[in-house]
Amino acid sequence: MDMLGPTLVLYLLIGAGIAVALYLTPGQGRLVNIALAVPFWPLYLPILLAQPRASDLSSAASLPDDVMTAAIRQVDRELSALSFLEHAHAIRERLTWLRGSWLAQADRVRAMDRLLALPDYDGELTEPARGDGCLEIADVARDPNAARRANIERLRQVRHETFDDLMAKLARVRELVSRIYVAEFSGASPTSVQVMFELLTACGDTKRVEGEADAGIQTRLP
Amino acid sequence: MKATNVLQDGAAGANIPDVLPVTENLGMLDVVEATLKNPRRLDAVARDEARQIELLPRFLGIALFSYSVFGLAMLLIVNAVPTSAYPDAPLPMPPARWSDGTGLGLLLAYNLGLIGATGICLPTFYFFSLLAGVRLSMLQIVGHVLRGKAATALVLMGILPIYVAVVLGLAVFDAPAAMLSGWLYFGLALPFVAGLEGVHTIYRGVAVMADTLPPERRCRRECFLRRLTLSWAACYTVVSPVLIYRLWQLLST
Repeated sequence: MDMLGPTLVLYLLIGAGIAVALYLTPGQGRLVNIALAVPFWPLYLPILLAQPRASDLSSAASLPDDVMTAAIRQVDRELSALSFLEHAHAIRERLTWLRGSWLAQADRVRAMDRLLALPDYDGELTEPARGDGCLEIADVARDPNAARRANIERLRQVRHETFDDLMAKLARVRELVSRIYVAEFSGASPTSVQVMFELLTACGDTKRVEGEADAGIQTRLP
Repeated sequence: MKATNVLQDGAAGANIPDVLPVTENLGMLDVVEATLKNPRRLDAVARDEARQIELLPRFLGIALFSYSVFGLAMLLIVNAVPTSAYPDAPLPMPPARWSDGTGLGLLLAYNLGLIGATGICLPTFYFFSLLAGVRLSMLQIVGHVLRGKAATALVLMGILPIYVAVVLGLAVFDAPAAMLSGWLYFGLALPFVAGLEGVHTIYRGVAVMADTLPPERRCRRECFLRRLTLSWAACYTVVSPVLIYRLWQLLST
């Protein structure tokens, strides 16, 4: 008749399973959390299940610790701090997409870095190519490795351009976030704040943002 | 950025954003301060699941600490008053003495019962929210409910010293057993009295989430949501005393 004992054992067994899963989850393996997860696992289960979706940068412990990650985290924090504004909720998914695109771009830069760090690609074996890296047919004929060196040099340039582009985008977003704060607290019309949010969401399209932001926003501020 | 710099009272400066700062080490006291001084800051992060993951253990910690203090205070009172004052209707009070270790039963029963009942009622609240048309994930539901628990716990901490002073005063001056019994009943129900603040916190938090509804339907749905929150609170109020009593019985034997 007394089912309480066996039920408690089952309950604690599930709790132990959840605790182990938390232990294995990056960023959640704190001793207090693991200990509390055993008796209170129904409260920790949603945390565990939400981990893949809440792929927020603050919980992404697997990201490499470099200047790009630091810059993306910084921008992410500033974007998260906007969440109390009315229009922030409407563009939430778009901002998540933006974070994803920055992370992907940073990954591309890292992939190129790894390639350029290989012994065959490093700076000692590749002499700087002339000018914009294009070669004349005569150059190739004179040195069979010239084309390869030129390609490596071009790869290096692409890497720098991709890196600079990412950092420029992030700087642009930070600037827009600060403008949104100024507009919000200086009593600008809700329309101007909304327009700035729209520009923020269009940050993947850098050229459009730069043009519109400079032309349109200043006139709307009080 | 230091959390304490931003967690000032919103009234102190109109230009301080009503948002909980993103910090590496957001301490328990920062969350307590935000809960007490400006709950809007916590409303603002209710949608952010990553922040919820960060805040949930802190809410739980606040609740557990407070209920532990409450349990110890009740244990002190139960051992200070004569046994003739112990409540015996509708059910006799399980033993809770220092000497034979049964006091631990009271302490654990309140901690496990009050939080455990939340876990039992969580799916109910989730389906209630879906019924009201509010887009809430299970994690957000847990966030709102645990925030309600933390608010309850803080109010309990506020009421408890007054209650302990009154009852110990009555015990010292040999008040009639019937009066002490009444105060003991009240004491055992004290978390539920403080829980009114928790219900209010949950309602406010969920109502903020109602802005995902279309404007033309928002007003009607908010009214519906109020009733659903009350229904959930009623469900919790029924489940938790049963769980506490049963656990207390089990752990005291």
